[in-house]
Amino acid sequence: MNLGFKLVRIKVGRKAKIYSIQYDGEENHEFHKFVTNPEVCNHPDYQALRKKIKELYDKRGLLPQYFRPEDERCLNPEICRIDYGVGYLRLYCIRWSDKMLILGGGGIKPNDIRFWQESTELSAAARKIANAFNLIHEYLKINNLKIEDILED
Amino acid sequence: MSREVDDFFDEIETKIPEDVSRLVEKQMDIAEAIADAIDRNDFKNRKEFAQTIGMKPSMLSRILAGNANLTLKTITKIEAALETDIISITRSEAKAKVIYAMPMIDMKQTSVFISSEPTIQYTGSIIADTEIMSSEFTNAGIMENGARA
Repeated sequence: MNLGFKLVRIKVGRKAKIYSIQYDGEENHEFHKFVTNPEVCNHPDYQALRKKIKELYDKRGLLPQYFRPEDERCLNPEICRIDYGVGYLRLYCIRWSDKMLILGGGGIKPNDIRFWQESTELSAAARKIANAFNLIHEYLKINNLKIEDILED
Repeated sequence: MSREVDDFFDEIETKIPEDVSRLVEKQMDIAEAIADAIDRNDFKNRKEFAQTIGMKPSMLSRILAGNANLTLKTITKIEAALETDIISITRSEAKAKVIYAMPMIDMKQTSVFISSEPTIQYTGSIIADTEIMSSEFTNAGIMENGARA
């Protein structure tokens, strides 16, 4: 079984390590795509989101209260979002452990929709990371591995 | 590692504005203080706490995620339910006196200097007078040049 992606380390903080998903054949990982999206970078909540993430990996730790499941019914409950304010700007992630965070992509929830499924961008990002999560679990189980065995440090 | 990702984490090119930084820190401090206080109390879970104070669980979830810009009214409502301070205001002795003094001094005619000692300086004269601080504060309590006005 081939995962089809690798987990690349993108930040080591005092309280946690952060990884992102880089798919085979692609030059950049999912988080890179998020931070280079002009709509994301120019969103009013972007700077606050930066600060929040910084606080998590460097000062407070990956406290569960900061990771809200995006949709426990439609997605795996492990798929969380980090957001700020009323949650228009969303970054999807997997809080793998107290010290390990996997960041995916994300985007902006338009004002005129109610649910993330109604946004093509959010829907794609959420389902992508949910799929990655399932593959990781299956891969570790089949190969009798731990997560540390497949990280690209 | 890309320049953009480096900048995101390390503020190499783009600094997080100071006011945003402070706001997020305080929101997270408050979120954790509330979460800790709920856990120390006898509530079965956070949903039960939300119901106790008449708040939607989704709103409490936002607060605990550090996403809410809470009013003092909401904070004190939570404090009352948890029987603990979530925030407190530190006042030095000097500032405490300013609070009493300010409304009663005609700032155009006098200058007021409040130090940690019970002194008031106005119109250039330093006068030690604890009476004004302890008594009911009226205009009759203001002194000029060492004499009661």
